[in-house]
Amino acid sequence: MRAAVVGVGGTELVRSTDLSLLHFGVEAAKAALADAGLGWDDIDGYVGSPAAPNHAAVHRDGIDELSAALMTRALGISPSYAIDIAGMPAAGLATAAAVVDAGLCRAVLMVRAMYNPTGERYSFANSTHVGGPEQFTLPVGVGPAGARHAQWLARYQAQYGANRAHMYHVVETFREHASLNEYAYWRNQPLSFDEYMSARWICEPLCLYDCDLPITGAAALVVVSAELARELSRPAAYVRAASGATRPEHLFERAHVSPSEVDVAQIYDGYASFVYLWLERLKLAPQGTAFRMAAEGALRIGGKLPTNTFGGALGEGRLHGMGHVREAALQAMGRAGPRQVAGVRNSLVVVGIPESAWALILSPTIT
Amino acid sequence: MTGLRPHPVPDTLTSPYWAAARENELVLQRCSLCRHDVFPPLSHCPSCRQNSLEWVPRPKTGTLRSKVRTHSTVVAGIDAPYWTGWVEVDETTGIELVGFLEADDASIGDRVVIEFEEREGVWSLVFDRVREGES
Repeated sequence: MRAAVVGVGGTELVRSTDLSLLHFGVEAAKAALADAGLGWDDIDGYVGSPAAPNHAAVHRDGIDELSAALMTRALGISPSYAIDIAGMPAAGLATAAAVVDAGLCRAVLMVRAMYNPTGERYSFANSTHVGGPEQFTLPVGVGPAGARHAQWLARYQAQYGANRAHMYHVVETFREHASLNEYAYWRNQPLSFDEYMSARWICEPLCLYDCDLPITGAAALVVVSAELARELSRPAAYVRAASGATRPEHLFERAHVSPSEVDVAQIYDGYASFVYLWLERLKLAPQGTAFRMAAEGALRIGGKLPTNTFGGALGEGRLHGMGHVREAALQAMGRAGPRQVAGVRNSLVVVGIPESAWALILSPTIT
Repeated sequence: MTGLRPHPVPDTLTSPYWAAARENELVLQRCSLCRHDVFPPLSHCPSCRQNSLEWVPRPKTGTLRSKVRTHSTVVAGIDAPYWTGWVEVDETTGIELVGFLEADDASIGDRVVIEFEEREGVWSLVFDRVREGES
């Protein structure tokens, strides 16, 4: 695709705040634009993925969600293309890149903001009547979050002999990486084996530290045409390929890259179990071996496949995958600072749940 | 108790399932043309795209494919902790149902029986150990 990320930005990620969500969204956008070296008049596109994914969400614009209409008004911009998508941020980046590649826009701003409500449980389902597919799950106590991913892990453990101690290595590695990321909620808070093994269960076999931390905060990207990226003459992360929805694994044939050529990976870890799932489904690890690979240290910076080098959602906080997209771009641009992996050519990011995820490969040069 | 537990709202696609559940019968959709099994309910067969799905009674037995224990209450009216099971229904093309796992010491791969029980006004799937004389 003839599109590249040239600017990234974000806010502090906090557990609670007196500031509006809009404040966070605008600050993230300003930071990304400044990072790209562009002005507000240059922005002719906007892609948002505003949905508050937590069951206790009120879905109010400006409160726990930020629509494209609100953001363009708040930023005082009048893009010729603005859209809200239902997907997560990797789908957002694929959409922004496609819009630029198609020539509809030269510079697209993408914002993701997340809101952690105070005083109510983040994932608590309080509906007295349910329709749709949830009528078969919620009435038997299968909530919106943990259980359906915990059941995948229980199956995986039974099939391959993985256990809780194996997962410690995944979570601990990301905590370690989080200390190298100024945005990370868990920076400089290493996780000991005992602390992990004695953590309370959320939905067994997923424990507290296997679940990402709800935060309030935002991050933003600027995606521009290859022509504009060249004019800017600054590091760029070119979108080499994107594939998603039901077939993220088609990424490699689209990119003409093999899984073994991936230099660094950002893998959605809203639950720790997703790390095994995506490593194996994307053939970054043979089936049934991801837990061993992680336990052997392969995911560390300096390991065989440095993964979630910014700490992941488990280390940074719950930006619903926007942190992963930001880090994939930074790694491709060579701008990841103390966590930079040397000589990155193929920077992979995958964000989403098994049924709907997007994966992209970003590269420092256009291919 | 943390509020009222959620009640399913049957719709045009799902009402045959709930009507059978009230009689402790399990019915699931099957394509009359290509025999494809479907759950949760759809309007058309996703395999042959024909308007050919019919509701068929199923055996109330299956195999436990996964289980989890929810430790903090996430759904109003259903107090934690409790076990949940995913059961592949016998004689289907891999259809799995989710429900309360009564036999909490059952292992993945074990045989279970499938029942509907009314729990606080909600017909709920409950999985239990296979009793003597059952498959």
